[in-house]
Amino acid sequence: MDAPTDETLLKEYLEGKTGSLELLVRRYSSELHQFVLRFTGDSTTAEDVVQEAFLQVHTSADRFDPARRFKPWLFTIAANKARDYLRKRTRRREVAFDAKLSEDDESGSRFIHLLADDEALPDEAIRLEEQRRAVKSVVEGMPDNLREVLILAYYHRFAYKDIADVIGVPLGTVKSRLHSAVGWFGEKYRADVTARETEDR
Amino acid sequence: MGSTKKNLNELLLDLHLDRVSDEDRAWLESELERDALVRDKSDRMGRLLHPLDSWNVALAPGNLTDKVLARIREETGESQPVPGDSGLRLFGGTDGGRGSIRFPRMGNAIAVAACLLLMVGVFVPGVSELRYQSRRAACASNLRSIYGGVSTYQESYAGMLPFAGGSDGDSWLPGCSKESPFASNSRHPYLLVKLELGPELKHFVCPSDADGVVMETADFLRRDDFALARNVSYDSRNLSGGSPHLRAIKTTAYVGDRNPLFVNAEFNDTVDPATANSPAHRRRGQSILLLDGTAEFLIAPSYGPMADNPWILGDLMRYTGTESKMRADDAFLVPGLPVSDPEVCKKIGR
Repeated sequence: MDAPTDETLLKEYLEGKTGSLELLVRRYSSELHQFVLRFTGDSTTAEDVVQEAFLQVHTSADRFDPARRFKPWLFTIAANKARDYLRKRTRRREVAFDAKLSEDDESGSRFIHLLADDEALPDEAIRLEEQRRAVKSVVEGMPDNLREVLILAYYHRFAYKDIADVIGVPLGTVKSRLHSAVGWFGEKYRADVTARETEDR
Repeated sequence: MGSTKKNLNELLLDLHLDRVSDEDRAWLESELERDALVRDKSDRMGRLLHPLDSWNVALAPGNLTDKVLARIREETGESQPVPGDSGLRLFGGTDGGRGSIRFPRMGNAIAVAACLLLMVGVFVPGVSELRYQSRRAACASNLRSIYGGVSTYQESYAGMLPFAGGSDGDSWLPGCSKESPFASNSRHPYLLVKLELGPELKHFVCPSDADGVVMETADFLRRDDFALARNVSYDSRNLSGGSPHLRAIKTTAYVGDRNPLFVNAEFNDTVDPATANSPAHRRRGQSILLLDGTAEFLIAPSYGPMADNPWILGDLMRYTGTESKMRADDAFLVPGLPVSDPEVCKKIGR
């Protein structure tokens, strides 16, 4: 027996089956949280945006176009809310940088990674952590419109047409933004690595 | 196929993001084989993208779903949560069932009893089959819950499967070798519960597994593995030596019913892996979860385009417990035998 599709669940919810919305929330809240956290760099915002996005799904379910797919629609809602947040945020860099860098450590990810690879000696673990921070810093410094496409394409494996659907631009624009994002990342990351190497000498 | 500079760059990016069409992939592979410059360009693209894998972010809080649902209830003014409400009401009419009770007359009672007996005679075999089908569906549903956790985990850990440590040469069967440390394979999927990624202890017990019993929740956070072999009805992919990257193995098995080649923590070479089916499902087949999220009921062990048999590793027909993976796409579901289980302890001499 196959699991019901997202669209079926939304239809059932509209017909009064309240448990169907819960299934959709369970299905997507984690992934949506990951997306917003990478996009905004702030875990409290990510939680808020996920809650607001599902609340909007609840209030706008009857306006969902059945010709569309649910997942891009959900991510469109969340992306719009995340963009609103980014617009409102002032002095973003000055306030958030250090705080964000320490957030992931609280999840225990370092512990898991050390467990996950017997070859990961302390030096290697430090190098990986430095790399992670550098990537995070470079991607967070990227213009919002490029970062959004990179995160959806690379970390969430969205198809081009779904990304176009989420951010409301033509397919060709998605491809060119993705190229720009990758180019931007490569250039800045390389510069960051070179700067760190020079510092170490 | 055009191979202008722009197109080639686009195609190479698509190739590295695993979003290239079969036709383009075939063309690119022939170009990569033929042209050293294309190979070099592809290598540079890979090196450029590779650091992105290291950016894992904090996991969503374990109670996020509950918070979302509470927020919706709060906004809508609903006082009672109704998760999984099917709208079906088995008992209670509009008056709530209260008031005087009228007993039926004897003749009516006999007629009703006769009808009931007739129905039992006609439907009991069907009910048994229905119950079996229902348990099978619940088993598949468990697997999908487990997949939800795997999916969340790999998003946070650069596309890897849940991995609780271990090295090549560690034994996943107890007592097979004094030189090899015993490392239960069930520790890996247990991480999904421990990290609160969605799956719960109950999802690891298949309703069709007569011996299965849900692990007590009281002390699960203190443990690094299930307490007893009976707490986990599913065997999982052998991760001896390391966790493979999910992208390369999406259509292969992750967990499934207990491997029938292993009985009571020992390998049983009298069972033919080509025809072995799960005893939990009346030996009609087995529930298997693939890493693309589909839970299938296979009536023969082999599945997928590679006709992989998840009971065996390559063509090996005997196992001591120290065998590790040969190819990433060769799933090998091996028993989860928690080291705290008294039966297992006995075997490893603790």
